[in-house]
Amino acid sequence: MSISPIQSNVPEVTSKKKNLLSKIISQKHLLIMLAPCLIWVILFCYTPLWGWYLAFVRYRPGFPISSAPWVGLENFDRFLFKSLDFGRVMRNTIVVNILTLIISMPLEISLAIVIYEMRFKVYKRVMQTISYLPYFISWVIVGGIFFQFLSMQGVVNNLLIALGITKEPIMFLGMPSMAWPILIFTRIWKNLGWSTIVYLGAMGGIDPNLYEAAYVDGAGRMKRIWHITLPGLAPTISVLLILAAGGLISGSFEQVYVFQNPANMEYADTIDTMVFRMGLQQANFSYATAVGIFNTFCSLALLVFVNAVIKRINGRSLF
Amino acid sequence: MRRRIKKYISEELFDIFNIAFMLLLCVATLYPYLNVLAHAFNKGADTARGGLTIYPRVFTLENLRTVLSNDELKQAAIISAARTLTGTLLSILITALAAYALSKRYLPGRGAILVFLTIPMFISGTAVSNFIVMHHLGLLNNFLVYIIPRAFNFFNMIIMRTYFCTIPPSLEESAEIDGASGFLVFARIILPLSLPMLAALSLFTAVGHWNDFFTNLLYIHDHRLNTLQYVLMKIVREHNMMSFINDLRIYQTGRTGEMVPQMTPESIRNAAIIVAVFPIIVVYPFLQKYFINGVIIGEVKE
Repeated sequence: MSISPIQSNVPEVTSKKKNLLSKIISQKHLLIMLAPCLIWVILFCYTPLWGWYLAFVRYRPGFPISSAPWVGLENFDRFLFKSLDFGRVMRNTIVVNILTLIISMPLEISLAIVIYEMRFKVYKRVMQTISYLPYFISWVIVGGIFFQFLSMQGVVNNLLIALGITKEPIMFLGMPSMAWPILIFTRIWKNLGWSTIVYLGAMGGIDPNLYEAAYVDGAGRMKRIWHITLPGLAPTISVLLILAAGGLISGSFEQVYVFQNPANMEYADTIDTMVFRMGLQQANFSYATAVGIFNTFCSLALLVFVNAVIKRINGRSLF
Repeated sequence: MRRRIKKYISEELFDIFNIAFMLLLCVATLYPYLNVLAHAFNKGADTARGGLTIYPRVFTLENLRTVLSNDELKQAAIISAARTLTGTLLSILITALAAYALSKRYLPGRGAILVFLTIPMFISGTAVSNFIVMHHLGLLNNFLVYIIPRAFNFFNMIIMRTYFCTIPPSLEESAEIDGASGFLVFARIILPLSLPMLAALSLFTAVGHWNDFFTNLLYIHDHRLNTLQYVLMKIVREHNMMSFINDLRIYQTGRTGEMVPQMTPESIRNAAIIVAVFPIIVVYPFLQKYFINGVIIGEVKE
């Protein structure tokens, strides 16, 4: 550790030759301030890492962990190659995440541009207020709202019948084939408005001179958006893509849990909900831990991989 | 001349397209809420006819009254409010203390501590190991499980640290010359100067607390400690919908000696949603002030 020169706002008179110990003593109030946070991080972030041990033993609840026999990678083997869950759960998680990303990103960018280009200030503000609201509503309530919306007597069914598209009301929530569209749509509905904030922030950082120069050169609005705004958003888009890659195989538990029911389980079961069900409801502690570890490392690998790819393509990266 | 007119028209078209796009989105966002609102204030018997859109056909406050007089929901609302208040205060305090300490260049080992705090962002324990840790800390079935595991937030810490760094050091120095110690400087100078930022982060933290049902689902089995979102989740998932209605009936007849007016599970569910979403709608205008004014935009850009 390099010893940096001590600045003058230390209470007592300091000499440059103070060693680390006296430095720590003179800064003890800072260390006391930091202590709760450090204790918290050790307890709630680092101690659970020790629980990874469970993945390599055959642990049965009720018996001491030390007596559990060491089984090496057996739990991973069971999940990856011997269970029917793996394919199903991975498929659901990845498909829902990727489709959400593909559909929502262009929508988010267009909405951000539309908000940014809006000339009427009041209208713009009202629009932002309304479209950010769903982000602050819990998944439970979003679930409740959409259960109502999609129910047999709900608005959607009424509309479909009125338009003559179906004769019988459709039971959206109980249909396995509707599980993905519902998960994707509700996730986009909840986050669309709020996610424009990042893009709007990035647009605020684009040099206004560029727009003026383009205007003088005769570029219309679409041209300016295409040649200035979108390239200006590229760094933000790449950062968001990298982060999305890291989250590719971890779904939003709360959402999936709310929309899951016995009828659509085949298509609405994701890694997170499976870990919860296996681990905490059925007490398969070792198995669920192995799945959790697999998930963590895959996410990390994806993050690093996409980061490297984007770095190679356009020289920008997260780290 | 003609080119200019043509351009003018295309600009107009663009504006019209913009407004249409936004109106469409507004409708798509608001319609589901209004639909729920209509159900909550419509008589259950009438709702059963179907076809309700965005306004109640037969207005009644009965659904809402039933929900508000239900003991389970009342208890849950108290728990939710208590955890939101205490949890937000504790989280902001601990995070702000850490952020202040880490904003000081001369803190010994600052870089190492930051790395130590960043690693858990990438590698974390699994649901099972978290559960075991909570068990050993005696937090299962304990009200504190709502508060303590959320007592520190890394992202809030980064935002606060960035903000504290912008406060001129001369202010602190002059206070120190006047004899104020480190804690006094923090409480009397740093916190008051950061009030807008702290208010914004408090509101976000509070919303997170209010909306969380995961903690309840995982670690609490004592029904007296259930939060509003969790009870609502059970209602929404309709696991115990029928028992809920039966409880209501017993509760109501036991007290007033008469039958419950016609109410359907649907109406009750929608009224419960309205109750749970109400606090969010109340704080939303305050929240909105911060992110529209760019407090949060500035942070996201970091």
